[in-house]
Amino acid sequence: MPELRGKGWRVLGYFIWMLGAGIVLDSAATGAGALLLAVGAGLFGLGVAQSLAARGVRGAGVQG
Amino acid sequence: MSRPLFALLNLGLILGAMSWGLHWYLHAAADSSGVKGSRFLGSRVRAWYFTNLEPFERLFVRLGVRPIAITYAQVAVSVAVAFAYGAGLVFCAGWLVLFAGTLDILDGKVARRGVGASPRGAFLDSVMDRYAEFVSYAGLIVLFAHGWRVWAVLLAILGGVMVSYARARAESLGARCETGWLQRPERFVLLGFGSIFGSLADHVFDTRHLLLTVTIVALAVLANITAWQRIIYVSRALDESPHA
Repeated sequence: MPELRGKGWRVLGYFIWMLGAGIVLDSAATGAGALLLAVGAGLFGLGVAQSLAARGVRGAGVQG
Repeated sequence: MSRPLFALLNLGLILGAMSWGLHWYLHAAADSSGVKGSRFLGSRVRAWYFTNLEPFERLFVRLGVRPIAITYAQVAVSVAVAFAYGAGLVFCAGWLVLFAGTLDILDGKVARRGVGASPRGAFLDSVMDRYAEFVSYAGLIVLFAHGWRVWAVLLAILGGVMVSYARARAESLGARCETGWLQRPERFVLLGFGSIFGSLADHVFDTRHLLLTVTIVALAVLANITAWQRIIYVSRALDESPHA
């Protein structure tokens, strides 16, 4: 899914993190909540890494 | 980590995202000239939000997802909102309200970009929107079943229905009607953020749904004011119409 590269994964990760946070905060199902928190954080991290990599490539291109 | 502390952490994450949005708003890079705004949700705020949706819009178009499928997904998410409110998962419900609102935006955007735009799609979208809105509020009726707050929820439902009906009836009579303070996107934002911040306040200050109650009362009052703004506006417009 190249369309989600960077910003798309960040937005999706943020949303999934917040759903997990809601489950941890408002219910006893902390296991399910923690799983969503982990997935959300992972996707958000992936998006940030992709954005930084893209910025690095652009920067290298300008220098080159 | 204790729940109040975890609530504060998430409050920080939300405020961080908001300050990033504010930074974007103050140094707006995207063109907001083609985006229609309103009194409470201006064109630049909407343009900022739309830029966050662009990746999903492009993905749905490439995958050939039909706009009506997104509309049905919005109804399904609204059912999840109802269950979340009914189960007391107010923080989750708030995010799902915002998600349902996002799907409501995306179906229109995908329809305009792809090949799915049609009068049938527009009709089904409007009808499903009413179902989705009512279903969301049904969860609040369950949450506040015992006490005066259920009446505030019912008034908010009435206001939302009348805002939409006034516009539909006006357009069937040939009058335009897009005026009013609290249109559908504003109602999504108010209910969503009222639920999210209300839940966080409950965990940190033990406020027992105080902020959510204030939000619902505000929705009940403002939605009915909006309905009357439309009634008066359309009455005047039809009065001045040469066909009246």
